This record gives sequence, C-alpha cells and structure tokens, in this order.
Amino acid sequence: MSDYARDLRPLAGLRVMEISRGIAGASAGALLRSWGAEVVLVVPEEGHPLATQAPFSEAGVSLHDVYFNSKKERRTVAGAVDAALLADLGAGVDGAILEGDPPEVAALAAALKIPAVTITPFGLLGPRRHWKSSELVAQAYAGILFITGAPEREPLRIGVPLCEYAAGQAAAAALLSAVVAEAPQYRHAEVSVVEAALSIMEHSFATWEFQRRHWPRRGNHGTAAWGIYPCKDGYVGVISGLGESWQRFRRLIGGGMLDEKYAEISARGEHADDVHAFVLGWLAERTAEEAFRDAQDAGLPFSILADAGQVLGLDQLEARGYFEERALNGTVARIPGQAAQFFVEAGL
Amino acid sequence: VKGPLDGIRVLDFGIVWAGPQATRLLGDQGADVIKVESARRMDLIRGPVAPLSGTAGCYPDQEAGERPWNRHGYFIERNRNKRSVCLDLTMPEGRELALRLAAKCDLVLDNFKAGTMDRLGLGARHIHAVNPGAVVVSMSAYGASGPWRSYSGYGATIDALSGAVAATGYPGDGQSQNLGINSSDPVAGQHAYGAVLAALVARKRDGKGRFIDLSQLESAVRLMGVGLLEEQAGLPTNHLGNGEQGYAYSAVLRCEGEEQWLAVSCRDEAEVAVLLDVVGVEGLDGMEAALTQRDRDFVAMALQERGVAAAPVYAAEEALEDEQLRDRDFYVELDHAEVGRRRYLGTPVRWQGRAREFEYRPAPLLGEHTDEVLREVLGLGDQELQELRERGVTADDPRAHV
Repeated sequence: MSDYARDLRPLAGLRVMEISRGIAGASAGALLRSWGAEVVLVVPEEGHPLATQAPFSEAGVSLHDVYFNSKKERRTVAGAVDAALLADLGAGVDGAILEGDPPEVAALAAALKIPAVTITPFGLLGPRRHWKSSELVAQAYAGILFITGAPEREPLRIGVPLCEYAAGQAAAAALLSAVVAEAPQYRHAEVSVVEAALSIMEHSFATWEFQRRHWPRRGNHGTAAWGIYPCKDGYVGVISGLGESWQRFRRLIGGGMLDEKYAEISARGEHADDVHAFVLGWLAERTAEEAFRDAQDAGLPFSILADAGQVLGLDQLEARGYFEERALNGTVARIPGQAAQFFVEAGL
Repeated sequence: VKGPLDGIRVLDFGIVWAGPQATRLLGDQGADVIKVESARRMDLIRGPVAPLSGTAGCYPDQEAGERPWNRHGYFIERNRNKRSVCLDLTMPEGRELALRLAAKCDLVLDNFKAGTMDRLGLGARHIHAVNPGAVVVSMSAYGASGPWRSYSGYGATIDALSGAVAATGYPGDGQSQNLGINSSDPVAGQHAYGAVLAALVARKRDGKGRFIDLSQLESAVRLMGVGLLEEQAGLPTNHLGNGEQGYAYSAVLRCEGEEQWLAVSCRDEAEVAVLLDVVGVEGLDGMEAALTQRDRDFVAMALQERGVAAAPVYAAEEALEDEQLRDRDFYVELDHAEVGRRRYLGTPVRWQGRAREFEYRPAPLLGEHTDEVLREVLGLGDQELQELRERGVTADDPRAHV
C-alpha cells in the first residue's frame, strides 16, 4: 500500500461518554477508542465494576480493567448519575454509551440530546426486561450454550465473552450510525445482549425453521472433515471447504480419499467414518505446524489449535504490528490492537 | 427514510458468512446493498448447482427443488435486504460493469483472499481512481500484509487459531472443545460493520475515502484479550467449563426431562443461598440430584424473581418461541418466492424501541435485480441489457456452467 498512508485514528475528534458496568459497554468504548475516539469513562467512587472482577495481576489490578478500560479518560463521580450530573458529563461529548438496568439507562438516554446507545441484558422493554444476566446466562438464552460441548455431557460455555462482546460491537456501530445519520429519529439506539448474541447465530435456527430438525451438540467433529482433529503433537482445525475445495482436499489427503466413491462432497455425510479415518491417518504423520502449512499450500483453510501463549507468538500478528502494549506486573504485556487497519490515499 | 443508513449504497462481494453478515447488518439499517455474484461463481453458501439429495444442504423440508441455489437456508438467512446482480467477472465487460457500479457506491466490501480484488481490477486503487470517496473493505482471513496474507481461513479454523477453542473445555480433562457456532465469521462481520461506520464518520469529517484491511483472525483475537493477559501474568489458564471468573458459583445443571438444562450464575454466597432455597436443598452437594426432579423454566423464573441470573438453556426451537423475544418482535417473518414464509433472526440494533425501520425484503434470487440495478444505477437501456445477456455477461442460470 505504498500510495496509501495508515490512518490510525479515523475517529479522531469524536468524544464519547461511557457509563458501563460490564464487558458489553466497556468493549463498545474500547472498540471506539481503538479507532481513535476519545472515550470518557464515568467511574463511580467505589471503582468501575470491571475493576473488581477477577483475574487480577500481582498488584491486584483487574485484567478486565487493563484490557477494556485502559487509555480511556476516567471521570470519577460521587453517587448515582442523575440528570444534572449527566448534563455536566455530556457537555462537549458527541455520543454516549449507557449500560445498565432498563429503567436507569432509559432515563439517562431520555435526558440526553446527543446520540446515545443503551445496552441492557434483555432489552428496555418486554416481560423479562428486569431479568439478570451473565455471559453464561446470555449464551444459554441465545441457544449458543446448547450446541457447544460433547453430546454425552452438559452444554458448555464458550470460553470467551462472546455475547457481551457481540453486544459491544453492535452498540459501537449503532452509536456511529447515529453520528452518520444526524436525524432525530435515529439519535437513540438500543442493544440487548441476548438479541445481539442471537443475531450472530444461524445454523441451528435455520435448520429448525427450514427442516424442523433439531441441532444437537456435536463435540469436536460432528461432520467428517470439519472440526478439531488430533495430530502428531497437538490439534488442528480441519475444513474441507465447499465447491472445488473438496477436490483439493481429496488430493491433499490422498490414498483412499482419491477413490471415486468420495468424489462428491456429500461423501462427508455418506461415508463419514471413512473420511474421518483418512483424515486421522494423514494427521498422525504430521505436526500441527506441518499440517497447517501443507494444507494452506494446497489452498485449504486448515489451522493450528492455538492456546493463548501460541497466539502471542503467531508470526502473522507480529508482522502486522497487531498488539498494543500495557504495563503489567512491572513489565510490558501485549493486548489485541486494531483488527481493522485504515488507510487513506497519500495524495488526497 | 428506511433507517439511519438510508442513502448509503453498498457493493457487496461478500461470500459465505463474514462478508454477508457485515452487509446484512448494513442493509438492516437501511443501506441499499447490491450483492454481486455470477452464474459461473455464485456465493458458495448457495450450495451446489445440482446437489445429490435434499439432505446435502439446508433446503426447506429437505427438498432441493429445481433451483437449489435459491433455496439454501443459510444463504437466505444471511442475505436479506439485498439486491442480487449477476456479472461474469471472468469477462472484461463484467469487470468493467462492476467497476462502474463501484464508482456509484459509498462502500465496496469483499471477504476473498487478500489480493483477489486487485487481480480482478477491482482493488482499492482501482476503485479510488474512479471514486475517491469510497470506503473499500477487504476482510480477508489474515489481513492483506504479513507472511500469511495469501492463506485462507474459515470461521471454524480461525476460531481454533484465535485461542477461543483452546479456552473452551470441561475442567480436568485437558480436551479443548469446538465452539458450537463458527463465531469468528459473524464477529468479523460485526467488526466490519463498525469499521465501515467509523470510516463513514471520518469521511463526513474530511471528505476522504478509506481502504480498510480487516483481518478476521485479528477481530477474533480481540475476544481473547483477558486470556492473553492471564498468560503473560503467569496465571493458570485451565478450562473453567461453565464456571465464571468473579462468580461464587455458576453452572449448567440437568433438570427434569430430556436435554433440559438450567444455567445459573450466583455472584456471591447470598445468591447461592437463594439458589439452595429455591431448589429446596441444604447444600450444593444435594442440588444436582434434586434439580433432576424440577421443571427447568419454573426454577429459572423463581431464581430471576429473587434477583439471581438464571435461564433455560434453549435449543433453537425453544428460543424461537420465547416470550420476551416474541414480545419484542425480534424474529422476522419473510415471504420468499422459493421457500415460502419463514422466520429469521432479527437485527441487534433498534431505534426508539422499534424492532425494524422498514418492511424487510427476503434474500434475493440469483440475479433477480440485475436489470433493475444496471438500469437504475448505470442508466443502461433495454437494448444494452439484452446484449449483455446474450453475451453471457449477466447470465443468471448456473446450470450452464456445471
């Protein structure tokens, strides 16, 4: 991109107030901050709720607070935020993120004349608007929990805060939509964590609605050639792909997979045990790194099953300058940075 | 006015899930989304032209029908509020028409492998040469630079690479578990949705278009921020199962009936006491056995009434009937010419309490709007449209290419 210049702060000049209590609100602010917005984090005297949430550093600092709330401008307030205080806090800001229980955030939004987005667990209205939630509960309600885990065991929570993060993403986009629209009817947006989580669902809902078939938990590879497989030194994510990719997959695995019996991708279902065995045999002779490289060289989207330490060591992320740095335990730690790099034509 | 993004026109080269998710969200908010495909190379999620059976995809009642590419449930779920234009991008005329359309759009988005659009003459440089104010988004698997720029990825494999699969598992067995949904796809789609809006805010300020190089892996790794810090702080990163950091007790518990599970999260010991009281047991040891005799929904309701976070673990068919979501009109019912009237997942953003800002349109049939769009956006006349069709530039029957 030699004729383009990196734009590290596409949202430069945008000032956003954040009243949050969990990951949904804090991640919305963090996302906007990563794109260059100034985020004013309103912190109660007793501290931000995320600052009390485990895990903690050696110095007792919440890692949630480090990740989601650093590089925000903190404004400590005494007592509840009422209309008068809100007017003071809102002076000079272009938008607001308001996370909390329905009556409180609705009242705050109503008092604001600037773009604002409310984030609540189940929505501002409806018979269960007062229900309490957690990431586990949101995954349960959105149908995510039911389909994760081993078929013979209990449903399993996805180990990252998927629902709350999805709500944060939707809220950040909603606030920016209001800024773009500049229309009174699109000033105040509403995001419910559960609905945001549902909006990223699909297979189990479409399968029911189109076929009246129940989508069960499938464990690590419910369908052949699609899932997590063991290899010589760990695990590999395997995808045979769609369309012509299936033929590349057959050529990569070789041996019995080249039999005409497996010529169509429907062989994944019709001869699942055979396909499964061929894949296991191929992987048994390769390390995760070898399988990843061999498959990618053949145009197939395999991957390594990486843990946190391996993610931090990925060449690709390092080469793109992905990580940001934060102080932690007297040293420097790395956290995820911008996932979207913005560029402007240099001559403009 | 169809929504906050009314007046924004999008040229959508998205395929499968990540790209189409981004443009579906934009379309739900009122943007005019023009989806470009070709009969030679449809969006892969339309499924095969001639599937061997109705079970080879998500077809209504397992009937692939005469035109299966218009009947696949995943395609239809991801592509509402879009218009479909067929252009054969292997032909120079097809590429030229695509570039002319790009010149009239606010946003051009793809999720191909990095470099694909450049090879077609439709990369950021080509588009900015004819439309300097355009926002051009490439949302490839790993980004447009770096040693993996030519590698490909799917949601499931990016989930594995991002650390999310390694972070998911039952305590004690050391085995990571695949995620029930390929979350990296929609997470990247949502990330692109926000990034596009950030670029539109920037354009409003300085009048300049942008190129956005979005890596699906990088958007997925943002979910791992705390996990990466734990690793660097030397803290244990064992599987928590259904446990939650910062909660006194959280679990998924079997209730009366087949596959009836309750999720519960107690913040402190007082909430644990409420749980024990509701279930009617003295301690956590006896709770699991007692709950197998209790109705899941009754217990969830009783806990919520006393301020404890709890919910039924819904299967999809149960979530579709949930009273809160139905009361809020979350699900969308749409009539589709090939699959009839069905329900679809709603959109995550509502304005002033309204679930939708306009009457949604169902996903398009392949090439359904080719003539309409070329006439409306490029001003082509009947004769030109006829000639394009005769030369195969705008052909929309994929059977000719099998």
